[in-house]
Amino acid sequence: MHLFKPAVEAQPFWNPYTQTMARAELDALHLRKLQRLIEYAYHRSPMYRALLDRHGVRPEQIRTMDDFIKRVPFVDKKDVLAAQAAAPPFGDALAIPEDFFLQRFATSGSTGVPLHIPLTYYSSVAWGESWMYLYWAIGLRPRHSCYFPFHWGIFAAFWSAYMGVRRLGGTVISGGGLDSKARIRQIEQYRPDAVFATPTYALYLGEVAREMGVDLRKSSVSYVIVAGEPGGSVPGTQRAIEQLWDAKLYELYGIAELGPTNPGCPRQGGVHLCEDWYHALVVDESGNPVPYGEVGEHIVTSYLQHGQPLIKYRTHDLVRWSDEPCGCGTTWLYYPGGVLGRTDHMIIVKGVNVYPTAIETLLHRATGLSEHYELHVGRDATNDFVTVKVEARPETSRDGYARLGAEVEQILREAIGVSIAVEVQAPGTLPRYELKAKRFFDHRPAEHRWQLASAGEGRGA
Amino acid sequence: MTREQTLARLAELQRQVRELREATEIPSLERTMHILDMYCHMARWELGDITAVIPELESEGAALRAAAAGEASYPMQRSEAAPSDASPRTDQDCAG
Repeated sequence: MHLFKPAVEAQPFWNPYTQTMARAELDALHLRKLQRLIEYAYHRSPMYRALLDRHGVRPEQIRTMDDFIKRVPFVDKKDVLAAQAAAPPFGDALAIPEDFFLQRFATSGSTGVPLHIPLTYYSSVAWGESWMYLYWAIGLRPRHSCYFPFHWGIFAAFWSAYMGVRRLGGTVISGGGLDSKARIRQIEQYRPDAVFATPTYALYLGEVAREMGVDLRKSSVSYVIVAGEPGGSVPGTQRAIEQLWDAKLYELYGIAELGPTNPGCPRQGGVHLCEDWYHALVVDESGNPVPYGEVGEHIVTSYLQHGQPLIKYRTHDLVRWSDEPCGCGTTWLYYPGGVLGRTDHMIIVKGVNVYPTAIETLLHRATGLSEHYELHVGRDATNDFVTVKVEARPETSRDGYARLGAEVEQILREAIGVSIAVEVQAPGTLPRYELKAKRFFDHRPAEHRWQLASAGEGRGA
Repeated sequence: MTREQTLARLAELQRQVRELREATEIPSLERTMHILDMYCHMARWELGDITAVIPELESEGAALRAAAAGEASYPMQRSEAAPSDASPRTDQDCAG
């Protein structure tokens, strides 16, 4: 007996009502949600009350989507950090009494102070729900089991994916508190259907398995589900992981303080905006929405962060948004290629925009390289310049490093049209990561990085 | 079942759940009704019936609780029980 009725289990969409809704209807629905959210935030979050008052905005003045776009200010992470600093840990950003806390998360604080993230019971269910659109579309059902090789710490990481498996009714298998070798042994022992990891760690587990003499292609795993960093929509990385595991690769793009904003498309190659629980804009440097089909900064409003509302939140992620059908049948906005990079990682070499994920894709065209690389960006008098550090595979002879480097330089030059230096290093030289890999090293002065107009508060009334 | 019929049933279910939550003196039952209220809200939200952001803090019951505890709250200006002015699609429209 199955948990769902057969006719329901055969449905291609988790929520066909909204996932197939016409764009104009979806936009009208968003407006109603935004109006309620702004009203809620204004009355419950001192940070939002002060921000909206400062911009002369009252909730009842947001009557159209144009009002929302033009009158409601952007919010940046540093605004939330400042509000939290007023009375740590949550300060003026908090919108709920303590009784409604379910779980607390925090960011690593690698760029300064950690951002604290309060989650209510309802938010935790909705975090899980946001994964469900992906799980359902790719065929995960309650009879499937999911392996989580991560440490279940204070970082949001794969907690929301776990909440999704609970919502599905699937089986959770924890790989917490173990090293990578023990996790490989658990995968052999418990035979999960799906494994969750960052792209970097999915590849690293392959290296460890190889050292142990384990062939992951013969494992039970049919799905590798990645999140936490770009890669899931980068064809070369996707192919490398799929070949390593002999499994299908899917991704979800999310942001710790917002939650799982964009479940991957079942046709791979991109992600959708989870429009039941999020609204998004994609804007240029002056803060104006770019037309569909173009690239800009992803600005997200979450309907489910009840504890700490975030409205028009700057993600600093670069995406290309599209309202064209991607082929999977949903009408939800599509972001081909997923996250293309960070706004502060935007590189312009001799007038050409160079996206880090584009370089990652091109590196896969060269044989003899591992999946590990680093981008180092500097600035001379007039231009950004890039050096790519790559790592040779163990079977690549050290004598061949110079030839391999030249080959990669040529691939990059032909595809992008500008020269990018390549340094080939010995296997195992570049660091490995369990969660997010650090691949981008920016040595440019701050004034040569992306700056959104009125950064921090955006445009007011 | 049409969307409107589904929403009407959900609204009635949520009304009864809230009534029981307020009436009971059993902690486990109050918590269960609280969570049921949340799931009713979630089901309505996903069918485009937008009444509140978080039912625990925006319902009439929540306003009464806040007042009893001497806390500030803001009153709901729309009825929580009746479906909102969502678009008139039916279940049949969205059958996959």
